[in-house]
Amino acid sequence: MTVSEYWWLIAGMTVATFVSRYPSLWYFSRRPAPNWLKSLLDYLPSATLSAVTAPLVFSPNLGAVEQWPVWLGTVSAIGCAMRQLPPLVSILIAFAVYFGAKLLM
Amino acid sequence: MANSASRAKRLIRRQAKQATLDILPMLIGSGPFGIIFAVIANNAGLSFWQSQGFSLFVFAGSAQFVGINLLSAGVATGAIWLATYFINLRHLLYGASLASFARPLSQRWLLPLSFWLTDETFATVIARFEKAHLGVWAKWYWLFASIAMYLNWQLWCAAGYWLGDLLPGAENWGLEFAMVATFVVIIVSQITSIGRLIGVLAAAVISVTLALPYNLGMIAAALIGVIVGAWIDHRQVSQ
Repeated sequence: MTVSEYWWLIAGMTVATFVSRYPSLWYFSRRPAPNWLKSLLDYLPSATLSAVTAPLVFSPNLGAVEQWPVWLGTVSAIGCAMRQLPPLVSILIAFAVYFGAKLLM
Repeated sequence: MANSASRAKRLIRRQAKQATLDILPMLIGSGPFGIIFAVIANNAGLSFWQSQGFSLFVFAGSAQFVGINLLSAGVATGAIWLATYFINLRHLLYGASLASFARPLSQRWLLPLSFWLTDETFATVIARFEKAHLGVWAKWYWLFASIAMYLNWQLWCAAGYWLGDLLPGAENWGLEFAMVATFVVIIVSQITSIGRLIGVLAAAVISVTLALPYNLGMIAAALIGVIVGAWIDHRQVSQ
């Protein structure tokens, strides 16, 4: 790939990303969302983040990563968060469990 | 007059502090993700600035990963653009959620906030917006969280490129689990009703089982999760 081909690729990806982000921000910053939409938006953050994260936990194509350590780490993250530990502490515990399990396996 | 200006400055500084503090877990959690991206870019034969160009201009973690993989596989440029758009479509949902809290926004605000919108900023900012009514300060909070995430991503990706020289194969260590842990913690903290819980579970199951190209299954899963969650809570209230 030549240098100009590379920058062409980057420019297009930049535009593609921007046009996926801008329109709804623009639209909803100008007028309030109707009430029915507002009540749906209430469920959007948790559901979307769940849809983004679940494939990382369950997809078999994480390559070299074994599934069991990922599952154990995920369960500990859920446990820590349910106990309302500070986010950073929960993440570090989950990461430790994950790496511990990886080393043992 | 001078007094109110200094009060505004103080309040803006407070937002900056709060935003940086709130997004800190994301800054750390996304680190391994950035490192792995740059290690892969390095191994694919990209120069430092070519690798960093992805992070500086595209600034979208998962699209960068797909982009670099398709690039190595020799996929046509136009197809990579299209894939980038589809992978990032979930941001349309984020924008709808966030904008309604921070209205009104002028173009001056919309452009940078759109460019910097990511999963991580969304998760952090929406959590704060749901907890506290920030009014005119909301956009400042959002802006500082975005800037912190952007600078942080640049640092991790630069470090990753350098690490790729030192430690070939670092992308196989499974460091990306940090991102999983970070998002799981955020999701659990957002589950405040039975509807949200079922919505989260439905979205997870569907996004894993519904195999559509370009992450479209993920977007469908999110929308179904939203509808199921809202429906369940609505039913509970009306009973």
